[in-house]
Amino acid sequence: MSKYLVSIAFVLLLSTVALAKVAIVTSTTDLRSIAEMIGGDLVTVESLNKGASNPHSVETLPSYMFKVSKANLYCKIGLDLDSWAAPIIDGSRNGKLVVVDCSQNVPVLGKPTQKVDASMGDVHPLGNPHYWLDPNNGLIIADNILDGLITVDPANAETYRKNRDAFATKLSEKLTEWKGLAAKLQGTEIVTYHDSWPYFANAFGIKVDGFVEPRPGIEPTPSHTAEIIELVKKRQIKMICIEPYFSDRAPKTIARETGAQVVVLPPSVGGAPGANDYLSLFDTILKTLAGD
Amino acid sequence: MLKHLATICLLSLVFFMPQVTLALAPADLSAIGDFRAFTHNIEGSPKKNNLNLKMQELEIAIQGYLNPYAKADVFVSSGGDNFEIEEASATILRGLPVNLNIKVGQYLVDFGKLNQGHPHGWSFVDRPISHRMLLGADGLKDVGIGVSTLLPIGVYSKLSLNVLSGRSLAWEDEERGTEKPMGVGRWSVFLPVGEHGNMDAGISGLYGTYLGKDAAGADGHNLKATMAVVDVKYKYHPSDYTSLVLQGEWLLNHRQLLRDSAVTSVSNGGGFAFVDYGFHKRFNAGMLIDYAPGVFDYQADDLYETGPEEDNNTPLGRFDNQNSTLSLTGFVGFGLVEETTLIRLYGRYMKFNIDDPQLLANPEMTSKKSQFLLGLQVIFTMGPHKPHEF
Repeated sequence: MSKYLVSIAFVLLLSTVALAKVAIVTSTTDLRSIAEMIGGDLVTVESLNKGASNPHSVETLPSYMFKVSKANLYCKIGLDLDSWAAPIIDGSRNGKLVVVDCSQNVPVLGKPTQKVDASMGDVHPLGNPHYWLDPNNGLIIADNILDGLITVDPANAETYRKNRDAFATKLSEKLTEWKGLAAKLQGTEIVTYHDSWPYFANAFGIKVDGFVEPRPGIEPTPSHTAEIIELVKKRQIKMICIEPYFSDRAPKTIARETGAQVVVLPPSVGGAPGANDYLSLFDTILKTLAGD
Repeated sequence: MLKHLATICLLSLVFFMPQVTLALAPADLSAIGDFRAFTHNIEGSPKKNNLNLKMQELEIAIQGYLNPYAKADVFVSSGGDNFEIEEASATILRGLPVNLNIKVGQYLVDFGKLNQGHPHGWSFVDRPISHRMLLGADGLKDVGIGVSTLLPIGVYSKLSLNVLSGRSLAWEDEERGTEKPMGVGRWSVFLPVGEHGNMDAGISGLYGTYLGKDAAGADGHNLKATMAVVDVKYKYHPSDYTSLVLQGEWLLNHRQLLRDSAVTSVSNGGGFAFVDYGFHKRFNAGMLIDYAPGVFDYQADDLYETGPEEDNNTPLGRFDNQNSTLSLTGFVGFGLVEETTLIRLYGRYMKFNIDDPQLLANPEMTSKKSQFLLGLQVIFTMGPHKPHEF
């Protein structure tokens, strides 16, 4: 009898090991989406920030530490955007955690050329961190995650590589489709709330003329709002683009004074209905901008 | 003199560290200033109804990793004259079995939730009187070793145990000291509540001995101190622009006393509860209610000194089961850019319940029914040190 019990326990143990998935925690939903595509059925992925929440300021909740304590891999945005992840990782006490900085090898925009200090607002000294909004960087992110996955689960490296190649193919197809969609947006001038969109604008030929924030991370002021109103009138700008987590009060004032339209764009997966994964995020943004 | 030298050495080390450690990123260095302007109607104080200006505190924080497994935190603070070490500790964060963390040095002990934080992070301005009366002017801060682990129960649940020197049981003004280490433990559970809410609840205990004197003033008597605290915090945070925090703690205190050469005991308790509503991103408002044993700020000397924010106001709160103080604080805050510049207006009403015949025989005390303080606090923070954890 005891022999049978030992055998059953052994088989159960083996099956548990065989079925154990790589647990990934990501800072944002965009990284989660890409990690899901690379990891496929072999991984479980959770994002700490929600798609419609501000990735600059995430509270260091103990429940996040608990999630990370069970994880094999943590994928962060880097470039100082998710510096809040450091105390979460520390608080997780996870000595075996592999941390992937997904900004590795990304051609970074907006690197300060002078000394940065707080008088400039919340300037990121390592450059603009919103790089996932250029779909060309999606593949670099995927490669970084692939490296991390192979480190923690080398036995399934081949599957991860195949998944990465499949993602690259899909992304390439979608890039052609998006360029078609973006054709009518070429040269469109917009004002954005925060400096979140330089990568996106660069990728699709859109021009960002100004920001609702007087300086990064600083709330709109009446004098700056008046300047933006003048700018919008002068440049005949049609769209004031904001993220779902910012107040629409100042943008609506600008819109009311100028006749421009306030457009809420999802900056991340889950930030708007339809933006369900990294590929459909760009479908949603481009269709919203095009007014479709 | 030694204190000054130590301060100069420490600060020199910090400011020159970036040049010394060329290959590594320097530690994070921050400075937090706490300025006050206040007026009050405290009877007996020459500053009654005056505009009083005070630099309440300057804190310098140095924080950084020692290696991949450990980090260190040093906080030195000054209330105007000398700098003193508020905290200086090293923590092994990872690499130990069963998710252990080990902390050594001088630190704010995790006895309750609030005690672990620094006052500049609290929207209600000052340490609650229940903490000041029962734990000390700066809270429960001691030198020792703390071990904590996350319990394997499916949610975030932390168990911590600290062995401390016990000197925090002593009170500067009284002739009581400690002889033996004391133990402090806390168990807490953190639970998400709904999509935007979170709750943290904990229970802590303390056991130690302190040196008591008999009626003739002779010391050498080890008397027992037993304390417990129950703490709860709930935060609802649906967006960057709105939040609601409800938090409270109740402390129980049991002390042995020597009276007429016989050991008797005193049991008392105190606690606080507050609500803090964050609205329109940069503004918050709320109210704190606070109850403590003893009569807060009753010493005339302290009133002549600087007013109600001075330390050492209530040396016998832990041994007082006859009198009590009730306080109500209202506050409104404005954060210019997060924690970099915070401006808070606050008003505090304090009511005393005096039953001790000795105090009642003192005409100054019988006239002391209540007091009111109105103040402005400005906190400025340079550098990356920001109190953020839930």
